[in-house]
Amino acid sequence: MTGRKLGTPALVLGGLGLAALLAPLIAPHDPVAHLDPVLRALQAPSSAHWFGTDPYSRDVFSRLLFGARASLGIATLAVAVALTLGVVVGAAAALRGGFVDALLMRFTDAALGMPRLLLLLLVVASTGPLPAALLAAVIGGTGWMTTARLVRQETRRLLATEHVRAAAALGVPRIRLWRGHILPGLLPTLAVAATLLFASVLPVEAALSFLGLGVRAPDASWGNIILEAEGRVLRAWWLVLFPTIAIVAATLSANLLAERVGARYQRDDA
Amino acid sequence: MNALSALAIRNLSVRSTREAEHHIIDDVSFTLAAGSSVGLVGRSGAGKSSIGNAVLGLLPRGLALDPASRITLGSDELTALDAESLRRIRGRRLAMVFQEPLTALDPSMCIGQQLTAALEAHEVARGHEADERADAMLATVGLRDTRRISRRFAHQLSGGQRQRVLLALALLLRPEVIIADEPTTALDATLQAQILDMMDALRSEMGTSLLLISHDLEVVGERCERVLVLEHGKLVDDGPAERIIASRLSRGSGSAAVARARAVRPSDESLSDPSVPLVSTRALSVHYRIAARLFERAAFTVHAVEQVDVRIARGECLGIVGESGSGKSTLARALLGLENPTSGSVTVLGRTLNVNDHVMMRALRRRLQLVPQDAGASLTPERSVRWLLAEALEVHAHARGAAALKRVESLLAEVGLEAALADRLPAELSSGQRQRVAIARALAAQPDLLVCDEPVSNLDAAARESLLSMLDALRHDRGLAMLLISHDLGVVRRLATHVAVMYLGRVVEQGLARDVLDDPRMPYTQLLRASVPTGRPRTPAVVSEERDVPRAAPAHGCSFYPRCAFPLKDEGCLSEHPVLRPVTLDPNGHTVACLKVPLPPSL
Repeated sequence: MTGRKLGTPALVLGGLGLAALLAPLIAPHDPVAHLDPVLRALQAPSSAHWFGTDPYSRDVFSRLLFGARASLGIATLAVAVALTLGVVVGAAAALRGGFVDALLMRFTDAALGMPRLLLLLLVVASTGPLPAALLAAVIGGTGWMTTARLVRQETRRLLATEHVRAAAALGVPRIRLWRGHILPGLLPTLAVAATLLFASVLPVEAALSFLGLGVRAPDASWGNIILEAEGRVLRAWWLVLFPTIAIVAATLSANLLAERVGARYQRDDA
Repeated sequence: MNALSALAIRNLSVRSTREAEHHIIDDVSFTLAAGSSVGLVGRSGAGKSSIGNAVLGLLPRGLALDPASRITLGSDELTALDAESLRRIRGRRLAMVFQEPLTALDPSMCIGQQLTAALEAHEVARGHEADERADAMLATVGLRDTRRISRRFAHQLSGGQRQRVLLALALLLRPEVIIADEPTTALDATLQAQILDMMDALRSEMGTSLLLISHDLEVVGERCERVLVLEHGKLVDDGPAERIIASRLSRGSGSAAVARARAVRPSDESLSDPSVPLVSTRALSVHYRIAARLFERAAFTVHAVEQVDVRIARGECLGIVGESGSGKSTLARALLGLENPTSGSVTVLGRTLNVNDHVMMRALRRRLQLVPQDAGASLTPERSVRWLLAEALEVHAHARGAAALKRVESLLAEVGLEAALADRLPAELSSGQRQRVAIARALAAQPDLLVCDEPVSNLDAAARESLLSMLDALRHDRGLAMLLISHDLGVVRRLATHVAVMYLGRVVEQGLARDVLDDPRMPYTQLLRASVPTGRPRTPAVVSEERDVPRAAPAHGCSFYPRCAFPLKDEGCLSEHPVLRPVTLDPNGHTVACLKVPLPPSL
């Protein structure tokens, strides 16, 4: 039942993840090798190059596979960062209450008020190109706010439930109370939040890489493959189409998965 | 087909759709004669509610009616009807009164709207006429000030008022049959008696037939001519109420009656040492200030607990009795140090509680443990019994790691649970088992005082009885002091060595359990005792006026005066304020706060 229920979206995401992991085994060419800049540049898809080649005669299919490593890896790391920050801020605000709560939440509001892409551009433009791990940290660092609000709200709700109050009356200290009695109840929410975050950070990475501020050539990412089509979008359509399909498929699957994970926990509650 | 039967049920079977073999209801047949009342009793899980739901066509998903089942209302076969025709019959000719009126009423509509909506949906009346009919019905069910009530929302009404509104809703369309599913289980004894009296009176007046579903044999025996007994989905008994009640009581077959343990042995007082109270209060008062709200009344003060002196020694169990809103729970919270006294004091083990002294409170809190009313909800659903108990042991620093895990098993044994249950989640336990886990969790702290707030109100008869024996044994064997809060006099009688009766925040009668319960002097205690269902038929009553507990005591005189039925009551009761006075010569004996109760001769 569960397998069928999470179904296609989980399969698509899993497939993409597997392709990324096994990229060195699957890829027919070296993703950064200029195969023949004169004769094999900007070739349309063919049996030799399934997804065609880019202006430097690199194999797009191979770049897409290796690009999945960068794009999915950075997205996963960014989710971890955003989730951790969100949980810490949200839980601290809910547990401490009062002044701390007000301060943290106003800070969250302020962070939410800033246009994310602009902020990211500002950071990356002022620091120059970032290594993948730092890029993930920056993307995650600008995406924790909704999670923080969610965690605060849910922690407050759980704090008022009979079982948490009973544990508090028993004398369980605050941090333990949160870890032992609130966190388990929070897990369904966090599962949904994580998948939704994934769907939101993936296009951000692609956008940054497309703007030349994320993953930089010669390393591949789904965003910077499209960048190579600059000025010839219609003529070199394969440079746009295939990475776009990958981005849309991953994002859509993550969104659908979030919905299904949520529905599944809801059914368990009933 | 009997022309006189209002509702005939033939070969009713309800199956689970997943396991066709699993019969929730197995071949049940009975008829409900026009104008008669039939009681349907059985333990929780016997399938009582499924019969009610099946008749209404409201079976939850996962349950299906067997095709051989026949449900006939008057001359119409309900199982042959489509959903729309059934909807028209529901409410109009067949009405349901649910157990929990707050969830059965629509929170987003005021009472008046809900009543008129029902009239309009069945095209009985509309507009002004509907308003009039709704108003008249609210008056019929004994509500005063119906104009005001009909503008209110469900949450703004008291429990008794809500149940009356629900009844008004059921009676509004003058149905032929009313199915009442545990209509008074959530109410305290005096309200229960009022509501049931009213249902009786209205039934005989309107000629409605009643199917009363309850786990409580006494309630049913009192109100119904015929009683059906359901066990595991099968009808195991069917006959006149007197015969069924008599046979069930004598057989002692774990039926509801047994749990009440009416044949009481007075609890022994041998263990108690009254000279050294473990916990005592002196003139304890707790007031709440209710702030003024926009467009609402001005700020006022609620005297939740007023000038209360109680004491509990080791091995004693003090039962606090009173209606909802009498201050029982506030008193318990103050004893646990969860509530700051407005005046007066609480002394625990010779030290006066100070809620703001965190160091002292932490040291004392371990020794005062609470078993919450709803034990099921007090256990974290994702954690196993073992985890929950080990945590309680660790928090109180008695044991860690392997030692804690070992202690878990002995704790489980102490509350009569098998060690095999340790790895279950709360949802995998029965409500009686959950209650025991909650008690084990409180015992992990090795407390001196255990406060039990309505410890068995959610349990069925058999589970109730065995839990009460266990609590009694704990008090006896461990010398544990207990504070027992209950509105069920049967439970108090079973466990308490001492009893304090509370009314509007004050203790109005106090003494040894057997004195207070067997020989109540205060008219209020007598009223509480008379409200306990007995299983014997009552003389049909007239519709009783709404008599909810007032929120606050009158400024002068006896606070019980407006409800008092004592023949000696007079104007004097209104001028002088009664204090607790002894009614026996024993200095530690029975005291009563009533001006008209005769004093012992030598005083």
